[in-house]
Amino acid sequence: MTSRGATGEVFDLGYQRYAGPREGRSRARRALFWDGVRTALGLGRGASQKVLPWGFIAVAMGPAVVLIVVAALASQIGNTGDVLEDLANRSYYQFAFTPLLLFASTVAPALLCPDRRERVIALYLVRPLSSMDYLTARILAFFAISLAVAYLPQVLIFASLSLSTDEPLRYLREQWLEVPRFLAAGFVVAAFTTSLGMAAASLTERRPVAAVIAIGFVIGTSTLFGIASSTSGGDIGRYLELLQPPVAVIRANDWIFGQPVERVPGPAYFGATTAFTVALLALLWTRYRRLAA
Amino acid sequence: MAILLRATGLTKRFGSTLALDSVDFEVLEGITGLLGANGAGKTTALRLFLGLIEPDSGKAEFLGAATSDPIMARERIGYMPEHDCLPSSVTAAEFLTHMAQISGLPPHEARVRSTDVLRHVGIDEERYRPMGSYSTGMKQRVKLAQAIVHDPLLVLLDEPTAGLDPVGRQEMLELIRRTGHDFGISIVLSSHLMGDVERTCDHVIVLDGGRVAQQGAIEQFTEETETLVVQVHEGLEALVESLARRNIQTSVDGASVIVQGVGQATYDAVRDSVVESGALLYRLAPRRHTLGEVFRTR
Repeated sequence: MTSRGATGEVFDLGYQRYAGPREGRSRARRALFWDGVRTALGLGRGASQKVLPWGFIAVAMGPAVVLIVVAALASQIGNTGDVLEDLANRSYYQFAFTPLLLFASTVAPALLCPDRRERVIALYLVRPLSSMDYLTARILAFFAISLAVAYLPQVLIFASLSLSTDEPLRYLREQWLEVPRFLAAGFVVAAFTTSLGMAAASLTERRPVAAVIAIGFVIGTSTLFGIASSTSGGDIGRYLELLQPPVAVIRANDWIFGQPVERVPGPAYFGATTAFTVALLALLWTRYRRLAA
Repeated sequence: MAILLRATGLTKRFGSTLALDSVDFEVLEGITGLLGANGAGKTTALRLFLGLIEPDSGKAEFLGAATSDPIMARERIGYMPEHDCLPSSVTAAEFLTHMAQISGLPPHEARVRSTDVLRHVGIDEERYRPMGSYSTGMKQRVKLAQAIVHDPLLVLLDEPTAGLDPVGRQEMLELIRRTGHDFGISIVLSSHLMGDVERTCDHVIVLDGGRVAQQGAIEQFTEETETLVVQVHEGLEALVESLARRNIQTSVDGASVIVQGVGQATYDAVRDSVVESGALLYRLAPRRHTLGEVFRTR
């Protein structure tokens, strides 16, 4: 209650010096990581910036939803069957690789291109942060999202298949080996698509151009080495297949799930996928070392 | 007065171009102007102190420590670049909170500092608008705000009045003066505009072709002359005639009368002449040299 005649005073405290905690480089890295996650998903941004990421996430989740519905219907009939299980965990990335690739090609550049085009990076590099801290935080932010997009459908499928059987615990005991396999396969796919999207983004300041470079790289190498592989024949022809990124990634996935792999030994596909990922990250690293200088 | 920055034999070469040639200078607390034409080595000096580039020889020190490990030093330095550097789709409030965290402040403190600092630079309700819709003056204010949001000991401003109209430029210089004198944040103001440095800074370091041409307190260069400056709105000619009748030597410089002598008799003569002529006096002060005059005569 205010008494009659009471007067208030407004104090202008003026500029206040900051005497609170300073958390240095670790805070800077975390802030960049979370900013990367928000940027990639369009969180706190307009609706137009949410369309691409959430659209591709929905497409990547699509096969899982279909499989879960089929599994539910099959369980009504009696048995989900081995074919459905194969389709589920073991072959999932054959369906999901394309949406994951498109997701990385179109969304990952949002974490790097605008910072260079609008020269915000000049402000980051004069703070308690090295250029490699910046790059690592951005890569990890997109990799974390890619990993979540790769794992979530697998987790849902696994849970759905186990719940659609009469004895879910028995199913889990029998199929537990699938879990480390889909974790490993998802890691390989997410690492490749992340490094591709990010490396393409390091070559240009324009997001659409970066997307074209990433998708063009996959289509170009697949077409070129696909023709070379089929025309060469023999050992050279077989091993040229390793230079086609989609083939290498999907065959590496088959090898991880213990599926028979034709033409070239499974570890070679895994090695080729790893080599692609490392080479793309090296390109990214080199570009940003040059930028920092 | 503490030494914040010290350059000792600082040399930097880009290919065949010698950007800085064994430069020695110190930056003290307060506002220091780094004055020089384009290509004089100002931006190179700032980049060396920020640890963005390595010197070919010599040392660039911040608070007595070499900035060869700049990461921690940057916690207490702010930087406002000359070029555009603000993300157009983000609001000033969100951007400043983010940059405060990038400078090491926890999230809650970053939000509070962001609001306070934006208010101090004159961005109030506009802080919730995307920065792409801001005028050049508002963008310059946000650029300054991001440089001081983490409350640095020293802030390096690279051509902060670039692209501003005369009113915007005046407001920016006033804001820089407040930041230096009222907020207590020391400033290095890099500029090619002598007037900006003269009006804003306590000290000046003049770079010319990668070498230090002059350095010292502004007052040292702009010492008082033996003249008075009398500015009037109306009655300039009548005033000059009245002063001449009193045997006072004068010259006219635009809307001002420059009066020789600074003794009591001169002040009395000016007072009497103003009354006699009916001129509308609005300024009477001892005249100082301008930096421009100093450098033209040396």
